[in-house]
Amino acid sequence: MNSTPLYVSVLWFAGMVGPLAAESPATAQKPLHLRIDHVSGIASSKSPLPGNRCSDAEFLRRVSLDLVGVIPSVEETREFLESSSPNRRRELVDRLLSDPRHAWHLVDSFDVMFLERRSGNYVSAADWRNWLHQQFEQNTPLDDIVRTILTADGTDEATRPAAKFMLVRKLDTDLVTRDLGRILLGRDMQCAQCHDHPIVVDYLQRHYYGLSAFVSRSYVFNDKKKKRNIIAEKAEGKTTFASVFTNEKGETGPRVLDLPPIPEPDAEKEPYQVKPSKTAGGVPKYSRRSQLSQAITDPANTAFRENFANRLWAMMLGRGLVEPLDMHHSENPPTNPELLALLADELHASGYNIRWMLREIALSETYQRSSRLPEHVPTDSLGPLAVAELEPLSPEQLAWSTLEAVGLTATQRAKAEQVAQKNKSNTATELRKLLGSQAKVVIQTFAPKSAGVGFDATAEQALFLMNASTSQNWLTPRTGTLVDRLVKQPDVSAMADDLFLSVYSRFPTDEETRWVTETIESHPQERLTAIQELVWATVTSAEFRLNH
Amino acid sequence: MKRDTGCQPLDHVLSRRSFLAGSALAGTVAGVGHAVPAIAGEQIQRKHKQVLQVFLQGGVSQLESWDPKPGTKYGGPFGAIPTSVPGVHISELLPETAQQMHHLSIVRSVNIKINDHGQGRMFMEKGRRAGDYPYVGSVAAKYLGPNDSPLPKFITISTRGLSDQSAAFLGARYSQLKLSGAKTPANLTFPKGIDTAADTRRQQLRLAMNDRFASGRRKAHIETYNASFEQAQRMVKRRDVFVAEPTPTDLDRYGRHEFAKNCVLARTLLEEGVTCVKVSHHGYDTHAENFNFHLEQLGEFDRPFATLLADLADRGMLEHTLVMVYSEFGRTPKINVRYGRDHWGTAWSVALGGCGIVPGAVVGKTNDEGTAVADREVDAGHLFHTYFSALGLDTSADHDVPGRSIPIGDPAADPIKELLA
Repeated sequence: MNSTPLYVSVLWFAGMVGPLAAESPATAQKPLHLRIDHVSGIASSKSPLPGNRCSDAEFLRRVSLDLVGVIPSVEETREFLESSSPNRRRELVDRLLSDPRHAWHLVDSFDVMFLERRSGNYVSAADWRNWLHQQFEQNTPLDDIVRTILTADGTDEATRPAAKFMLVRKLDTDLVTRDLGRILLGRDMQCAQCHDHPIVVDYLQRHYYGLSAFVSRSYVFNDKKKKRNIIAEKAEGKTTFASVFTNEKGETGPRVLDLPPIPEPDAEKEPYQVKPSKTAGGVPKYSRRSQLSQAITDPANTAFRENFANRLWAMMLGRGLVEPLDMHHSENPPTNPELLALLADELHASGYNIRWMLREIALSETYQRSSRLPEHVPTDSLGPLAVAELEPLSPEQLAWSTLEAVGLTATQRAKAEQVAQKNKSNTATELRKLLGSQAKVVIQTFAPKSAGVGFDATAEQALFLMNASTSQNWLTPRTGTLVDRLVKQPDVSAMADDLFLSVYSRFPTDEETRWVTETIESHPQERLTAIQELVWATVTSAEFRLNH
Repeated sequence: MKRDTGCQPLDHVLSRRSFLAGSALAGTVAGVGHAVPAIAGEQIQRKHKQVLQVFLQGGVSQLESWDPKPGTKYGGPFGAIPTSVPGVHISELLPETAQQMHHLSIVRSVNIKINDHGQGRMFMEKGRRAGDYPYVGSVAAKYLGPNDSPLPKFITISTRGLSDQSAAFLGARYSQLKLSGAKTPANLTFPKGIDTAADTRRQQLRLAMNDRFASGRRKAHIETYNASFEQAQRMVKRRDVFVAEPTPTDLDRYGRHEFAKNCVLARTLLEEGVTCVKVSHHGYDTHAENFNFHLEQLGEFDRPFATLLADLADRGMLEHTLVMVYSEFGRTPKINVRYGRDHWGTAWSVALGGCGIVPGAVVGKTNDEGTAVADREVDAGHLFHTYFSALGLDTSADHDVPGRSIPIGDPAADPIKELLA
């Protein structure tokens, strides 16, 4: 995408191949990606059948979307497809992981995972995202990130952005409780708020209220002097519950699922360091909320590592081993329990090293399946991971990929390089700023109206692609845009190449080149119109809309 | 209420009433509704179950509407008037609605134990006190009516920007399309330089690419994506529905203000087969000057609502259309120092009628001063079960969502049986 990433991070990269990229940190066993393939069944010749390996072009597009959040540029595509290095896929993975776009892609992914597109004024989106960016640039261990998010109370400027997870939910006890369960433990215990879950036998009311007890005493305090909202806490308040079905009643202290309750100190005569008042947020001597970060990330709580192993897997494969991602329970087991256990244990043993885990997944043959169904093979003889999922691009992936495909990114690259030099940043970061408002329109249009519902394609989105001024702007010929390049290309075959490389990151088949030729030649109107229609049709097609 | 299951031949002269009975035929033409000539298109009724939600935003006072207590301590200045149902009285602020009472029933014993706008609204929409559940309209959109309908299945007409994640886990296809009053949705017209022929050409190119891509791959997502374009193209074709101005006759009958026009649009959309139409009337949060405001607000509400109800009945649509009139809560009996009434989820009323609901009934009651429910207490969970039981859905069944087991209605509540026809 720009010239800097290829060499800018040599120092960082050296750091990675050191301790980070060493083989499995747990033992001197085979690298994790080989063990993934063994456990997934892809490496074994036994049935069920393992499907086909994806082509280089499929791999390039997929791994670019999954690691840097955008399709490759035409130059990147040509370079990779022309490479004859036997290690070209591994080299590509390492190049993408060292690309500045990688950290931004993780910001997009984890921002949405943690906040689920909530917005609020307590901490700005920019501060929160920049804080996340810092973490992913440094490859901060994931459990550390979570601990800071759960501990930050907004009083320390260095960690204040991390308090957004709690603040954006206004410390609403039920909302925070539910989302702690869903996002950090993979368990949506909503129904257990009013009674033991009627269908999911594993989700008990005491689990819900055990989590709730960590946060129920905390509240948002508006510090008028410093003009900011912080998290304060009371020293008292019991967590009790009663089933609406039975007469069962209970009281619980803070506890994570079935782990023992957190022991609490004896009540002191003066329980506060700072008493809650109109002018001060309460700070108790013993804080229940401060126990949360350790309790949730405690090695004894295996739900934490299973949840994030499953989520990282889903970020790469498009689908979790447990689906929905927040419905881990005994009657909805992982499609491959051994694989999830392997990933979870290794994630834990690696010190929650996100970059290492994504790299191992990307290098596995399991990740590199084709989305094409193998011919002449009955579908039910295929293993669950034998064929790659077709998954819609996230709104962010769609936005940045569209701008890349239609050439608007290219038109800003020179400017971004200049600004990057001046600001001592990098081209990718500056391109994000320069194109931010254009991307935002797409992101807002395609942001799902509710979380976790699969492919949310709406008529409003299609109307946007058909008729909005934004989408028409993608087709306006301006120096360097795709339409402009195609108009200026007299050779129809070269034109078809550029179109397909730009939009689909692959060369057209002979049939497709003929199709482009016929479309141009038989078109009743001028050539520009024909080209605009072709670009529109490819950018709005399923092959572009889906990660495959 | 007996439903007319008779199958009479399609009458092209089309008294709307007689046409309705013949709508068994509608099933065969439903999928091509946009291709039917305008006159017939307007009058073809799809007999699938439909819902009209009338949401009185802010919290209408039960004492000034469905549960008047004139002459009592907290009764306020307004009287009660008889209605078309012998023995049932409602507030004198609703004279025209009173004449349509034989189409409605009242539940006077709602206690949701919530006095917060947001939470009350969510409970009334979702039938659940908390959590990420779909609204009535999205549930209706998911389970009622054909999926190839020419228009979105759940349309909300509202002039305020309340944020609604209406579909929850059911997915965006069942979420509401929100119209800002009678304003046209965005992007319904082709951009400059693109006519129907050009659109057809570019869509054909898109489909050709999709066919090629789909070959040898799993089809579900590709079909979902294609379907969104089909829906969009239908909406472009039926742009007339969204831009049509009410006729002078309708303006005379309904009124000329915004809510009146929205009621006409609601009728049109129901006639076009939209599964759930929700129309909001704003401004009932009367913490001050409760009586003046209700005089004004209900004065605006009464005629268009009564006219809409009468039209639905007249056109035979009420038999398959559930009507619900509700708020996020009622208002305190106690009158505050500013002559206002405050938030009150403890003892208030909703009205409902049409499809599957016993007409002219009154369920439950409040005590003499209206300060508590005296009989047959229900909450929004019971109402939710009641709506969908009336619409013929088994509310104890699970939602049709892969990987999850979520009962449609809250298992802790059940329908109000005495209201089910």
